[in-house]
Amino acid sequence: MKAPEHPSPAGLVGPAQTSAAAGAAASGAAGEPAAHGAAEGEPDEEPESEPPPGRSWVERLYLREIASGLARTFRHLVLERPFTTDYPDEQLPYNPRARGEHILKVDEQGREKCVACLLCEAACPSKCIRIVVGPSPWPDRERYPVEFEIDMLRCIYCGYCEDACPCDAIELTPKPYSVYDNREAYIYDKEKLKNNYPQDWRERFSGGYGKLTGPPYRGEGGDRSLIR
Amino acid sequence: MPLGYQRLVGAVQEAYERGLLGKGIFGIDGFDVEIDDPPRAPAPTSAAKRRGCSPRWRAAGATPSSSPLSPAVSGLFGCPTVVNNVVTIAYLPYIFGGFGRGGDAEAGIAWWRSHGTEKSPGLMPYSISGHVRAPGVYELPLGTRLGDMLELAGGWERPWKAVIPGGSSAKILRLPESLDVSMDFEGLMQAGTMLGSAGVIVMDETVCVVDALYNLLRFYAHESCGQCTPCREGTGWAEKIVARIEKGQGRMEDLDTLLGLADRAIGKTICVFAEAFCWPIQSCIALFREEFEAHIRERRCPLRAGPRAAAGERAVGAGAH
Amino acid sequence: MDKVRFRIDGIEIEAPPGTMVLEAALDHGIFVPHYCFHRALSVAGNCRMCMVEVRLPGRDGKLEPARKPSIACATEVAEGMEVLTTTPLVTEARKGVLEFLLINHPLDCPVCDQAGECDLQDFSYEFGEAFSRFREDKLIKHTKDFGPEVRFYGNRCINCTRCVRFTQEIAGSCDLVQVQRGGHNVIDLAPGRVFDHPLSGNVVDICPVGALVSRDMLHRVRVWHLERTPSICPHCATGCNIEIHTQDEVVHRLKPRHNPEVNGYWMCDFGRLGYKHIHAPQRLLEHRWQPRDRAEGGRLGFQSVIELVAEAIRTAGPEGTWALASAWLTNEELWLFRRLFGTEQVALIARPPWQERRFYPVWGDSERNPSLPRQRERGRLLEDGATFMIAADRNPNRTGAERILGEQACAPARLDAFVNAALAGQVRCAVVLASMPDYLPPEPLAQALAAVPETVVVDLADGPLAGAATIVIAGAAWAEKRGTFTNGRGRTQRLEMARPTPGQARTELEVLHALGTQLGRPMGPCSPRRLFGELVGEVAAFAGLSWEGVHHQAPEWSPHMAAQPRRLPVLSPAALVRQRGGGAG
Ligand code: SF4
Ligand code: SF4
Ligand code: SF4
Ligand code: SF4
Ligand code: FES
Repeated sequence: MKAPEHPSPAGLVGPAQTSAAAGAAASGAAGEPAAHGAAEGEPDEEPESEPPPGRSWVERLYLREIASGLARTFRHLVLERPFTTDYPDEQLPYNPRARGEHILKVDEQGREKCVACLLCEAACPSKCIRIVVGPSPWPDRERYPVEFEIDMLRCIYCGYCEDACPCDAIELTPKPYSVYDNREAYIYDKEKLKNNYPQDWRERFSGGYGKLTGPPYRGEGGDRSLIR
Repeated sequence: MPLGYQRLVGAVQEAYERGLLGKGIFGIDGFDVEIDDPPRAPAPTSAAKRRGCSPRWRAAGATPSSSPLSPAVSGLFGCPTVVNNVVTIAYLPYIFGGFGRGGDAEAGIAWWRSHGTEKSPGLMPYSISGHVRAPGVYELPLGTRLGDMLELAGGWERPWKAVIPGGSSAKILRLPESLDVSMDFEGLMQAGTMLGSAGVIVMDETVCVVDALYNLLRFYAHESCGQCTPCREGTGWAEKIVARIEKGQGRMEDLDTLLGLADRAIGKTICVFAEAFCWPIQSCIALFREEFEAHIRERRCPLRAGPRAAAGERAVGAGAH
Repeated sequence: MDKVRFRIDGIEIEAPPGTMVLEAALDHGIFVPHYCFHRALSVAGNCRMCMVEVRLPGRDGKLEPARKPSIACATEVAEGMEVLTTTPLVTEARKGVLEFLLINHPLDCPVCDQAGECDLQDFSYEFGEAFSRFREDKLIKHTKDFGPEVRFYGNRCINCTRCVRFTQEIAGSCDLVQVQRGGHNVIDLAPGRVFDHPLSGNVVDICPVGALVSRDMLHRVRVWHLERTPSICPHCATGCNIEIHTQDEVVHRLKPRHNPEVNGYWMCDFGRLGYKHIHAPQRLLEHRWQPRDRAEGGRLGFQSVIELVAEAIRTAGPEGTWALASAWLTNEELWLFRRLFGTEQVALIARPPWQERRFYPVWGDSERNPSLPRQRERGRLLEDGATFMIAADRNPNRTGAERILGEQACAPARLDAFVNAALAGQVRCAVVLASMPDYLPPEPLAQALAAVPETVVVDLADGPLAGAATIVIAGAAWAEKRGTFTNGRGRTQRLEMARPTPGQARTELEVLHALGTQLGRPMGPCSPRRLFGELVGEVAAFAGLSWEGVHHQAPEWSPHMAAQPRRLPVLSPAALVRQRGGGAG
């Protein structure tokens, strides 16, 4: 017999009582905790053998309850939509504020907003950001990241980098993961970071602010390409 | 060329011609006094303070120095240097030299003591400007009543509102409440302000105090030598805030900011320029707070539609720059 | 001289009369924030950051509380004075000054190279407020390149005039001036000038904010990544004390380290930029063999190349072997060199004196290069009466070589002797330890080296010297070595290893040691520290020195250290570890 998973008061009694208490838990009768309380108080008694008063043996067959329970089961089976999602072909939306992979934001002209201050790098607890600073090619700013890399395998998605950024240039999107078959692919370079969150991901992972229980996203027959 | 400069150069020229300057003046051999052309570089007003004429005068340009020594100990070129106002020097021959009294020094002193009050004897050239019919320089005994002085200068057709009794950095006084104040060092000190340079600026009821303060602060922001931090930054900041209030874009907390920045500047600078620009701020807000608040509340100058518009003229001194 | 007795924050202090309160406080570990004050410059008293409360005894001898704060940098200490640095009067004054300083200051920290070592950041954090009441438009000032080494960002300037005073008082060139007035005050070039003075880089060090930044290091690294290693500048015989700042084993800048007896707070721009050869693309990274009779040579491992050299030396025999040492070798290397090759058939090679005339302060050596005028009078006196000057001799250790190998071995006549012998075909093998950047061997020497059948060259970069060799060994730059240099005034100072040698390159110490071992000589340990110990015992000129003693000679490490004794680490932990590890070996 399988022991109860949750710590029950039975665990407090001596080993002699354990199997009996477990049997009581399996019987599923109402008023269990009270019975256990008694068991703890008077360990010599056999409380679960006493039927609750006022129930006939017919009632104690619980036919009506079984029927209504099964009716509910069948009603859900037939009438209601399933609550499970067919992962990974279907996926639930993430909270729009969930912290997933980064995006490097760009301005209207497609230039990264980052000024290579290295504050995100300084803030990062897992030291997974690597930036090479250089004088910028544009007249309206002085420095920009010549190289910008994040090692997604080392990142712990804490979001400190986003907090540290004075230019609102780095942001954690709700995009939760990416799947590759080699480690190098997880080191995202600047171009990849700039384009890390295309529009369909946006729709896919943030089905609206605060709508945690919104309708699941139904992919067209397993669009695995998006996961790559 | 500014008028003042022309006159100064002219006077120096004249003195040379009369033999009061140059080699061997008064016929005394070896008694040479030379005056260079007054410098025309835009020296800031703050350089005119005593500290401006400092050991670093020549080397570092005309900025006040924080040297702990006073010029009388170690001044120009490291020598003891006496720095005094022109007024002081101009009166000296009359008092101690018996000038005009046949060289009788005693008579000169007695004559000087016959004017003014017990503690502030003598005469003072008051420069009265603003809303009086006859502005100008009036040499009057110290201790003259302010009201008498203004009447002497011709009075004015509209009621007065305020007076700055001792040059632009002196604290402002309300009129007509202060007409009885005695215009000497002690009397004005008692009234909470100072005689300073004895430049009396009178304003009538058409004058917007905010505008007047803005005008003063513009002057100070322009005149700060920019050497030390509280004055360099504070003058510009105060000017910008008051300009905003005057334009009707003020906020109530601006008044606290102004007073706070005045507190933080006073006593923290090399020369007294911080006091000079902060006292007007403090006194204007203390005496005319309702006027500042009206500007902020109504988002415009309330006087523009009121008495000033009727009088059809700008505030005293405004636009002097 | 009588001392003045007074108290700062309750601590009894004695100082000579005339000392400023700020100096006395800093000397006793009481930190008073300041911008415009610098120990090497005159007092300007304009930033108003250093305000403290000063109480003087009144007539009755009791201390009277101050009505307003005084600036510590311009207040002389007085008998019985009580200075307080933490009263509400003082903290409020500091907050006020910082608020004023910041109202027109741009929010540039993310793109400002000073961030991380900026006094404005540090003091604002420690003494300022987290908010500003300033709601107006900020003033905009100019940004421009003052000279080849210095860029000026007017918006960030706090008008402390340290830079102006530096050009007036130390450099003497008066290149920088303060123009405009009031809030529009800004530093600018004096009319018609370019700030290309050989000492110009120092204004970057003394500027307390990021207004003057180094164009060389502009937008390259963040200072908090830099590891600091104390060392000695090798570019002239002055031997300025410096710090080598590295990130990931790449040298990014050199900063002067305060030593009142050598360089004060300063160093020259030639030295400051003199780290480039370390990362030059021509740098030798492997050893190679290029025999004269075969066109192509081969790369060799270190052991093989040493075997080859030893073989060549054995073949040539003691009569046919000459060795040339450069004036860039450390004393320890020279000592090993002397033990291997003796003092007879050896000579010294060195870089020629500075050729540029524009130099402002140069000392020594005018007989070697009479064209250099001696301009002593304009240099500012350091504490021992010397002036900060660049030495005419562009080698760090000629004096050390003279002491170890002897005057004769280092005389030019000896090099001529080698050249003659080589051209006469008497030299079978020549070993040249150069490792000097920018060294062009004079024509006769190059010919002589090419005439020797086996020429072994240890050098930094591919060049004429390596071209004349049959065996080339990749050597180490000064920043990759531990050891000592003896400067032109006879002062022995220690340099530390800031980065490992690149590729297969080896320090000359290792090369000499391996060679000696291969030749079957008793070499003993190969540690600079032990070798220095031997040197002290054996060479009279080094008697009495100790490895520790030639290191921390200066009370402070750098201008920044002088300003903030409590903040920056004295020595980076990595450098300490390295030092200990090396010292034990
Ligand atoms: S989310 Fe955290 S761990 Fe990941 S890059 Fe940003 S700071 Fe580093
Ligand atoms: S904090 Fe922002 S601006 Fe700074 S380097 Fe990181 S992404 Fe770029
Ligand atoms: S000077 Fe200092 S406070 Fe100013 S932007 Fe640079 S780092 Fe920031
Ligand atoms: S540039 Fe730097 S050193 Fe020069 S005045 Fe400005 S803040 Fe001071
Ligand atoms: S006023 Fe004292 S350090 Fe600037």
